[in-house]
Amino acid sequence: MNRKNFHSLFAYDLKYGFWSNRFKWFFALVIQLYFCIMMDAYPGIWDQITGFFLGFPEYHLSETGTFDLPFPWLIFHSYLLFLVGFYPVNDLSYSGGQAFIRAGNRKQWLYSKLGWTLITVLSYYLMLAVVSLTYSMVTGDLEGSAAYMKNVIGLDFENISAIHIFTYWWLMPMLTSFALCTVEVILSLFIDPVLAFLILFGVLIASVFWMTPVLLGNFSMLMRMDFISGNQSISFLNCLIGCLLTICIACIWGSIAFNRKDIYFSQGGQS
Amino acid sequence: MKITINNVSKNINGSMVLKNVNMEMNGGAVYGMLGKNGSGKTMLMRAICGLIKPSEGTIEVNGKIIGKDISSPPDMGMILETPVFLPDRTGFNNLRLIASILKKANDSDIYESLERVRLNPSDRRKVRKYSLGMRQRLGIACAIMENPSLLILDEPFNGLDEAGSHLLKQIICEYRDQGCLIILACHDRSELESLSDYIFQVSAGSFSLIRGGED
Repeated sequence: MNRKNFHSLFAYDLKYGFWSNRFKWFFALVIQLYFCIMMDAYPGIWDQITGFFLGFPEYHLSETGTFDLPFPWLIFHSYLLFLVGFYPVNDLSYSGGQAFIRAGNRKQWLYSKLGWTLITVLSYYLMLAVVSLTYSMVTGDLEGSAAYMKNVIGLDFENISAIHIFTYWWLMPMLTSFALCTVEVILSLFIDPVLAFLILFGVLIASVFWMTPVLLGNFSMLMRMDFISGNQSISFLNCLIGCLLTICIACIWGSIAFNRKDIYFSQGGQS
Repeated sequence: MKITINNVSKNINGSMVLKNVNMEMNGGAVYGMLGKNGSGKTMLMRAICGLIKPSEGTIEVNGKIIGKDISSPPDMGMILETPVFLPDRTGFNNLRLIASILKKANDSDIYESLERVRLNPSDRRKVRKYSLGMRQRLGIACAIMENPSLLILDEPFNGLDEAGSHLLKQIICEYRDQGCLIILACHDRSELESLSDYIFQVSAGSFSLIRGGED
């Protein structure tokens, strides 16, 4: 792999990738702000973030027989899938493959796209942090009362260590997002990107329905985590293993399969 | 630049789109491909670019096998299918973004290549407002801006007016004279005959030399 060429290609992906998603980023901001406003009763920054990642406890059919969904959690994660799912395929179409043939080799092109995916995931979570922080500062309630955590989860926030908060409130959801997005990006190179999005969206929905470490979405729901639900399988260690394994398998398989794939630019790379 | 195609065949869903193609091509010449739509011209060009994997055989570029030693030929410019660019950027900014990958062409090279195809480098119109002919010219500018030693041109005259066609012929002759290897596919026999040193007749995936190669 030519390192200098890879750096240029990665810089290209960052420029072009964020440019092509600029309107989607604007709506991401609107969505995050909307949910912050909806959490108005609990405006502290940690209340806001908890609201996004709360999810549901283990699913049981409600008395009315309806299947409820944790909408802030679902919309937050599915919008990120929407944000990353189309750019790699579009790059094969919208530059007519000119960027692709200049990439040097196919692995380099693919890894650059995965690097872009990682930066997009990190930026999305950074946006959440900034939006929550800004909203809390504007409402004058930066710290919050941690009342949300107490009332909804029964958790005394002040007794949770900083490492615990970083691990469960940030690291696990980010790892989960990156793993799901990596799978989606790889899949989108072989099947219709809309179908790839729907498959991963299905994984998120299934994660609400089934509490199992096999469905990665569980690792981003606070209510499911071992220290709240008591289910020891939804732990940080299992999250790390599951996500890293998913990412490695997707990258290795994707790299091998993409190397053998016939590329047709006018069909977005799909044969 | 030297390209050697050894017994290349390509099977797609049971249909042989390339059949046992053997060729040797050297820099400083124009190799024309003449054939109907679907005959295999574009497929061979895609294979040379490294976009398609042959079912059998190998393609070597300067002794290196495509798909094994290298993914695609180095130092290449191409027009394959209709040129497509970012619709919300100007022509200049599109080329600048693409040029940023290899960093072989700077702003003045891009300016020169746009002027060479008679497009205004300072034109602030977005590509979505370009006519077909302008997009084709932009595609040509993209192909030549890095001064390649291999040019792959698939139906480059599409959408060009008489002046544009004349200009493209001049560019092809210039690059050939500078030692560039040019592979040109065109359905217009007269255009091909006026430009090519070698012409291959393409039919149902088979390539036969009908002009050139006497020495």
